[in-house]
Amino acid sequence: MEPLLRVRSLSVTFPTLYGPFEAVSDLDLDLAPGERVALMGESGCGKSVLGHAIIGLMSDVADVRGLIEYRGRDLCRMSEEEVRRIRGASIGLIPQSPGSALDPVLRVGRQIDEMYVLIEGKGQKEAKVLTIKRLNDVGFDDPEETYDTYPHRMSGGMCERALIAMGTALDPDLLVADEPTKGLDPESKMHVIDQLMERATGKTLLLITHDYYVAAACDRVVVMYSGQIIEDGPAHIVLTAPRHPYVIGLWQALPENGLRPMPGTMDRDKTANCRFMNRCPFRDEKCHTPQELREIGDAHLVRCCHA
Amino acid sequence: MDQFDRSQILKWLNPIGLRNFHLALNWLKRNPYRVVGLSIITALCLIAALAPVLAPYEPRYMGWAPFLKPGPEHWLGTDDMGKDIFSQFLYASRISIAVGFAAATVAITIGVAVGLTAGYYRGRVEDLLMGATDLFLLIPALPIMILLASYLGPSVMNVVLVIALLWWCTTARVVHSRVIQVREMQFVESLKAMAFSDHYIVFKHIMLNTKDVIVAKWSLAIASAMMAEAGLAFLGLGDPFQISWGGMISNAFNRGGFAMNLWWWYVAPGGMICLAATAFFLVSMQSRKSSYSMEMV
Repeated sequence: MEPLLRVRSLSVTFPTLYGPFEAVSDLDLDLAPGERVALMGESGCGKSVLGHAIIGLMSDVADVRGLIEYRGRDLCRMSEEEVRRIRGASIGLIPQSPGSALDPVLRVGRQIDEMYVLIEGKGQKEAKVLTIKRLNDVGFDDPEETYDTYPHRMSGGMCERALIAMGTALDPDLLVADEPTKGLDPESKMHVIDQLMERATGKTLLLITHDYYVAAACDRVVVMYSGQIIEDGPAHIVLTAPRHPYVIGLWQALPENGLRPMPGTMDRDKTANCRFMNRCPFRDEKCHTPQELREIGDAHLVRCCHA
Repeated sequence: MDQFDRSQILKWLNPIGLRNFHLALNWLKRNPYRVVGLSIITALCLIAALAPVLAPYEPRYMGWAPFLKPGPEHWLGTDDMGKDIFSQFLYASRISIAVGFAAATVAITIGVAVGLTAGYYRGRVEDLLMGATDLFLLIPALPIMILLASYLGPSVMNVVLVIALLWWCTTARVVHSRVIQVREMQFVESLKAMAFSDHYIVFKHIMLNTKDVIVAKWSLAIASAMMAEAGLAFLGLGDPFQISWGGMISNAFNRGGFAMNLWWWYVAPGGMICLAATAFFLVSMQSRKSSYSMEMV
């Protein structure tokens, strides 16, 4: 099947005081229509940068190379105006940090209204009706009251659900959720994920997270490390029987699997053949050859010679 | 029970907009300084608007005996040319208030436009605009004001322009720094991701988030503009045909009021200038206190 989103040899480089820093290096990723993909990895592995590159939110200083195709059209080579038309209506974003992702001085409903009024050109009254319906959809008991509430009067979970309503307002085909559960307690985390999954039915979802349990709600899990994809496969396999030493380490660090922390920190060095080598318990001479992403099972790819 | 009834009543009142009335009352309770300031300002504006009704005599009529002491006929006496001072005083409020509002509004409009543009677009635009702002800030205000006012000639419009020209830069600075703070907030990024145009983000979201600074600065600007106008008028650079409170003090000074100790001639307009400035300061003070900038970061 033709993928909805195709990312080919994408590299994102930032200039820093210590020279250029490659946040994402030569990355390939396909999202099939209707697929729900969790993008996992620790802080600084490049997962948010990848997400931002897909929705076209890269700062001017970043050097973005490669191909990001949405329905066969390259987002990087489109005019500003064309990209704008695709964003919002076709690619929805559910941002992180619910506390600051809503404008503090506008009522919640007003902010969702804007999607309908400014992007779809609907009337104010019609927009309000649609907004209230959306708020009801994401589990607000009294959507009319929520419509008239300021963000600071809502809890983190409520804000995040309002953001889900906003991100899905125009029924986009592709939803990019950037750590929607960041800073939420486990209870509201599961509630938010439930709502997100419900709203994402039939759509393609790219869920950026570093939470094992959140990732478990998806069909496919992609794990990134130091700017590369190191493991990619069906959720139940990657999360329960991982093959890459890093993902195995993550699995072992879970409380129910022994709470064994992984030693070391991510290396800034991006030239090594295996970027995980300095922390890897299995390293040997073979690791010094270039490591490619290879298929070891049904739709299961791993970047490790030991897998 | 009490709570229940109240919410029911409010719901019932909602369609006729009385719920907003209730909110307005709440707002007044939370902003005591602002209430005092706004009441004074309202009173002053009423005086200015109703001057023709309130004034006992035509302010330019010169038929009374000169240098009369305050009495029931002439509440503030008469001046050297036999004009009623109280009537002049009421009419002068119009000029003082109008100049204050006009100059401040022009200054704030320029300042907000410069600050928003520089803060949102950054880069070279910012360097250029903020550089110009710094340049204007460096100019010593009073000498240049006197120079410009005397060069452009004495008219109300010129006084407004001179004050506005020197007052926009501090506004631009304050708005600029707030915009830098707001534009880095998450919601601006999500708005961009959701395809809203720059124009819309700047004018709706960023300006709304800057409004407390703008309101505070505006009311400070009015106070300062009124005082600057009084200063210029006192130096004889005001419009001689449109007497303001400053102009009255100037007349009192030049035409014997100070020398003969006719305090009623200059104390009333002087006091009104102080009162008006205080009122506007009070309004701005409250908005500085209620600013949420601290919780925001």
